[in-house]
Amino acid sequence: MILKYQPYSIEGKLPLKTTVPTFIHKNGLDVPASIRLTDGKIAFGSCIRCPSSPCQKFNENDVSNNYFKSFPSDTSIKVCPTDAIQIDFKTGAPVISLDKCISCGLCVSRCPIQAITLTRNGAKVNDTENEVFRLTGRGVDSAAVAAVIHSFRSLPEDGVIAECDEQFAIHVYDLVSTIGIGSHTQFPNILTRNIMIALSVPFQIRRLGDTNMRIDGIFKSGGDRIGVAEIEFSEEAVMDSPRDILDDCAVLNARHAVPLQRIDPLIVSLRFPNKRSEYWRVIQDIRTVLNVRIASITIGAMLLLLWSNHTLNENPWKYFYADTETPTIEPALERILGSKPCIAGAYLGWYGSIK
Amino acid sequence: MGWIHPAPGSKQRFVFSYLGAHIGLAESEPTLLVKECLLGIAYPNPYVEIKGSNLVRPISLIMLTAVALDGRITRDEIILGPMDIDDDRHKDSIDEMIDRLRLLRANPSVVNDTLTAKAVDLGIQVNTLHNYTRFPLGVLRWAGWTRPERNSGLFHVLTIEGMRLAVQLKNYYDIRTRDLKGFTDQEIDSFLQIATYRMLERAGYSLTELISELITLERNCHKVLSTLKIADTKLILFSPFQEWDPIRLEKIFTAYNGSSEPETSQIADEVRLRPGRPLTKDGGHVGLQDVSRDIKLGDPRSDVINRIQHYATIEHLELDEIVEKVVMDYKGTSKDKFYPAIEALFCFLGYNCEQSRIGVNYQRMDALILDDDDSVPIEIKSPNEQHFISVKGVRQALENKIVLVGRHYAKSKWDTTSLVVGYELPPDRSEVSNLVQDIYDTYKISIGVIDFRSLVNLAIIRLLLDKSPKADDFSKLRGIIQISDT
Repeated sequence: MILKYQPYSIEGKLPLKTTVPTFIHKNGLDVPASIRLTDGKIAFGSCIRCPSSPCQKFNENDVSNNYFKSFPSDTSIKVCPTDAIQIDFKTGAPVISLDKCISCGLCVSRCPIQAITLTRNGAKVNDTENEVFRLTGRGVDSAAVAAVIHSFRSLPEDGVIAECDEQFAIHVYDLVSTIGIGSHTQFPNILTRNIMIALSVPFQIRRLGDTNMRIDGIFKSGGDRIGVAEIEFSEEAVMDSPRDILDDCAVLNARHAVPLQRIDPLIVSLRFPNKRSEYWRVIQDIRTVLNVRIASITIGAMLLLLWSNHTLNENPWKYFYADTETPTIEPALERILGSKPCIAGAYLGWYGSIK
Repeated sequence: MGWIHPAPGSKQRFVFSYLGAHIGLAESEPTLLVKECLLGIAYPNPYVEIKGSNLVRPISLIMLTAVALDGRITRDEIILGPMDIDDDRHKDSIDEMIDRLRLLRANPSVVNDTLTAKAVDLGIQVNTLHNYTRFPLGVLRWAGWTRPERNSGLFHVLTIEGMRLAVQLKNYYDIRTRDLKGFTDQEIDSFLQIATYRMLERAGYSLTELISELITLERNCHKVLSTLKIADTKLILFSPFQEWDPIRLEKIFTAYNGSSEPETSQIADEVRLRPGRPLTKDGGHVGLQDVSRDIKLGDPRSDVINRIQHYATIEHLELDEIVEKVVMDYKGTSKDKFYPAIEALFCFLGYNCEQSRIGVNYQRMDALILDDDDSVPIEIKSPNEQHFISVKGVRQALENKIVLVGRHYAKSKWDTTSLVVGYELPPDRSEVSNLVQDIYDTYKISIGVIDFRSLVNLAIIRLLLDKSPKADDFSKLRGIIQISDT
């Protein structure tokens, strides 16, 4: 007899029926988001043990690939790129290992109840009872939880998950470069995919070990367009990525009959090469000679969008083209953010050349 | 891990064990159960043929040792401590090991000598000893029990979860195969079931349906439990599917073969690649023609031509022998020796070939066959960089062509070849050939691929038979280039 998992003999937690939330304000780093109620009071989120655990798992639709079926996709549904978040099967609440957390904020962005806060020391889960969120004294009521999630997801909101100050930006990149890159070989691709999904870009990465396909990632780029991505975190490998992505475009075009005009090539890196680097010149040559526009973005720029609750769902890639004449994506970010992106990111090479 | 074992009567076919079925059919990530299995590893293990005189439960011991050493441990300490202990259940052995490791930590200069002495003693290389730690270090980190120390990377530091587990491990009843000698079959069978169920329980599985069975099992193996002083079966640390005869276990638990589950085939269908275009055939041919031009033999800059000349005119070797000799002479050479050789070979064949200046990044290509109207860029891969030509070289040849056309260094017609020259052709040519074809289909740019052997061959033919490639041969080719006397 194959055993079943221990049923969650956990106590449910729900907001009091008398409270009606009206607005969410994200207070940024270290401070839990505020939930405004109809009576004007402010409450803070507390874990309601969602059976689908959105902070830990994508649902299968999020990672499903219905636009390029022959791509050998990595079907992992884990949200955390370093596997730092686990559901405690005894309490039903997520537990975040601060030894593994890289402070990317992905889990924070997916909690509908705002029960996870991004802090300077990693993401933290609030599982304590408060004036609004009370233990129910019985098991988890899935239907009630679903209704609460639905009501919270439809609330208007403002504010940011995190402000991009210099100290925090450097800290996150330090964690990405040490804990993240050291965690597993698929980390750069998983991190990219998961942030892209959080930014509303349907994104697939190649399954680890599949040597028949050299393309790192593909994504739905709007309308009938398809995006192809090269993901390179090492400064040396980024230099090769313009030619690598031409290879990707050729494979899509020649073997899968996708017209070149319908392909949006994108290079994802940790930081941009310096201004005099051949990277920018080669991208310009490719545009001049082949009329192929290669867009560029960094993980930092993507995190900035994530932390400020923006999405990339309107085929923005033409704005992310940068070459030796204008080696920066700052205008594209400014267009989406509605204001200049933070100075810290500029220092770190997130938007353009640092030198 | 005990997840699969050979099917009865076959060493080629494996079936899932009862434990493995739980891994395969896990409703969510089976992380907790995998962690239980990692803790269950114990040596020696007759069923997976891990022999040796060390009696040890390695993962558990490494963690307990790290606790005793201020919560952190190095790779070398693992080799000289937990992986070099006679019996990890003897308190004296443990104390002696900890003292020894503390001494080594206080005197880091002697660690290397101690490791070397250990390797000599075992008749293996120190590197092999290092390799033995890859699995334990990898899984400790995967499980979230250790993390590399931020600054040095030398130490593997116990995480909070690792510390918590290490404390729990001290309370566990660490049982080994040899402890079960002398008991009846029924007592052992009952114990094996209890140990398995408790592993599963710690990994989050429900034993609700087995409550009455567990009571019976505990009654059946009462003698085992009392002899081994086990007061709480929830704390048994013993992984039967790693430590016990699989045939016996299969009789106790019904082995699960998993073949009736439909999910497996669905997953395979989803990820299967659409059949690609048929493999591209190698298409390029360099034809040869008679030449009457004088050849500058023995150019002092040209080591490769001197060698060819020497083997041909002094040693009087046959054509094939000369080719082999020269190819061997250049085996493993770096760009400093290989690039000039390629330049010299093209010049010798009658082309105006120039190597790019080293360090001039913006030129991108490694050499160029210069022509007033139609130049050919060349990407060179020395054997030191890549023994076999790969798709990397083809991609670079594509970039070379784009840069040459875009930056107007020299005139080059759109349909003129961009060459890749490397030491040896890839063993499986299809990947390179297919990419060359994909690039042509998409961008109408022709990439030609030629190896060092073919160029040497052409040079010898030039020297001995006064035949050379037709003037524009290299500029009109696509694919892997072959030599033919037509």
